[in-house]
Amino acid sequence: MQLIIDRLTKQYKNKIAVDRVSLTLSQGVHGLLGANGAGKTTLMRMMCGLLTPTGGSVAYNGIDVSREEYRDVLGYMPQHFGYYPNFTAHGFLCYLGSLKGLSKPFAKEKSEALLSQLNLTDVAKKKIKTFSGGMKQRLGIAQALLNNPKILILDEPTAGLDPKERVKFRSLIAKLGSDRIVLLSTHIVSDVEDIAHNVHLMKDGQIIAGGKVDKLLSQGQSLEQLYMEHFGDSEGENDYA
Amino acid sequence: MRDLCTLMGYEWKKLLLRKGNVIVLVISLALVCFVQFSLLLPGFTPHENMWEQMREVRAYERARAGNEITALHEYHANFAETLAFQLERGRVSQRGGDWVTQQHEAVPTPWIFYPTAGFGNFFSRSAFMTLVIFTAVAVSIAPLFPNEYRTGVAALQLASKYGKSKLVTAKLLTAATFGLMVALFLTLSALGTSLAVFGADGARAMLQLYEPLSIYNLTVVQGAVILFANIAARILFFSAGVVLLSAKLRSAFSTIIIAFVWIFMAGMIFIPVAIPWIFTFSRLVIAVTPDMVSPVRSTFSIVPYEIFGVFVPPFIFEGVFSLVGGIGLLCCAGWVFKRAQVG
Repeated sequence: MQLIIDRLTKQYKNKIAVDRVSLTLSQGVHGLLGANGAGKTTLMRMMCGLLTPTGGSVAYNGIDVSREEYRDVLGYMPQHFGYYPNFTAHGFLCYLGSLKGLSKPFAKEKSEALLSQLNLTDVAKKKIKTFSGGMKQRLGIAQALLNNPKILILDEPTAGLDPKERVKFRSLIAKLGSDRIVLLSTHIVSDVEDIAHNVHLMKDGQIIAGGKVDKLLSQGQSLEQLYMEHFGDSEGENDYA
Repeated sequence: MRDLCTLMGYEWKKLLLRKGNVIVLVISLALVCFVQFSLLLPGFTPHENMWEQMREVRAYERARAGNEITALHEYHANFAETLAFQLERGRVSQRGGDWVTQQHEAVPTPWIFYPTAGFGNFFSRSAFMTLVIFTAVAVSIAPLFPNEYRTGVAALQLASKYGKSKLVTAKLLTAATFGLMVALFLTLSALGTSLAVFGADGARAMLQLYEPLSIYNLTVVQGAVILFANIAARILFFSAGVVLLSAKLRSAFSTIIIAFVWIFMAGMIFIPVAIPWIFTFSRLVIAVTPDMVSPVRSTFSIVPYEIFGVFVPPFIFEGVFSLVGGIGLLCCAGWVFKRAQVG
């Protein structure tokens, strides 16, 4: 089980959003850390086939990102989770289940199980437009898991979650990482600190550091300190002094 | 196949869940039905007691049903004059003229009179009805693709297994079937209203009783069916065009504006029809618009299409043209959405 990203590049007119990124991701949780505008979302969109790269390739076990077989094993939760306001949570999951190639009865069964797992059973029959931000976010996670994906790409998944949900979410991700590739992008270090097996730091479209967490950190250094070392300037830490 | 049907079901559900679509369909239904009998209402016409007059005329016509029509010489004279005009303008070739004459002579005589007010009224109002159908379809299906981008669901769809294959096919088939269903529903409602008000007599009467210059051996009811088939083919082409615009522009508003220009295009453009190929081109343009002058006249026009020496009646050629063109446009729309990029 290997997801190989080879010199992936995305260039807009006069801006390189992702610059020759090469990564090999295997089973486990991979954190993608970077400041806003570092190119994380663009990289993830290319990994989901939503954006055509200017150069390079993405392949899972030799299957190119543009193929249906690739999308069959993909679960994606975008930064801004889109939904139909007039659909119920259950109806929306069943719809996405059909899009993911699940049979109607199985999609129904799976939707119910995921809604229960993410504590949304009580509101399963309610329209999504009545949901709070955290509930929508949990629904976004549920839809990404519908097809039991081998590659799970989560773009800023903890935005909008309260601290309690955030903790629950982390343990869920850690569990999911045991038998699949999970790539989680965030600019909140604590989201990946305890659960990521590997961390990749992204800045100006490039991976500036990456690898196993314990190897990345020097003696006594925390991930947050490492992050600040690389992104301190770009995050504007002095603004709050 | 089952997945495709399920996805189509969801697309239909999305279209019908939009309040705007329901309102547009209800208004369209009210308009096409109301216009069928509006002239009978007091205040809509300078004549008084139109309803009473209509009943008297109907009774008189029913009494005359089954009688031969004797004034056929006028019909033949009108036909000869019209054909000579078309030949002179070069819209019909000499061989085409012979073919038209053959068709004309094949129309059986003597003509038998039947009251056809119900069908006649439906034919007379068909231009308005077609305009309403086009407008309703444009407003309803314009958001088909833009809505996915607006809500952000496009990212989830395009990253899913069927997002670039069956979903696209389902959307295109939904647009086409929705257009056809709206056309069928509104046409049947308009026809039903007209027949209910003016009488359902004369279904098997000759089409020439309503459209004397028609050269085709058809009954009134056959004419109505062919007219509907032609409107359906136009709607298919139009729906495909609207879907292509919506996939490309990603904006329902811009799509509706362009669709409206399309709807009123035939009425806005004056094409010099003295040059035969421009005349043919202008006919094909009108064939994919609501034809606000008279869909019946253009559908059963005396001027055939000449394709490599073969003469094809307009209702067949324009129908096939719209159908094939519509399928081509649907394929283009699918190609555009499959290549769409999010971000």
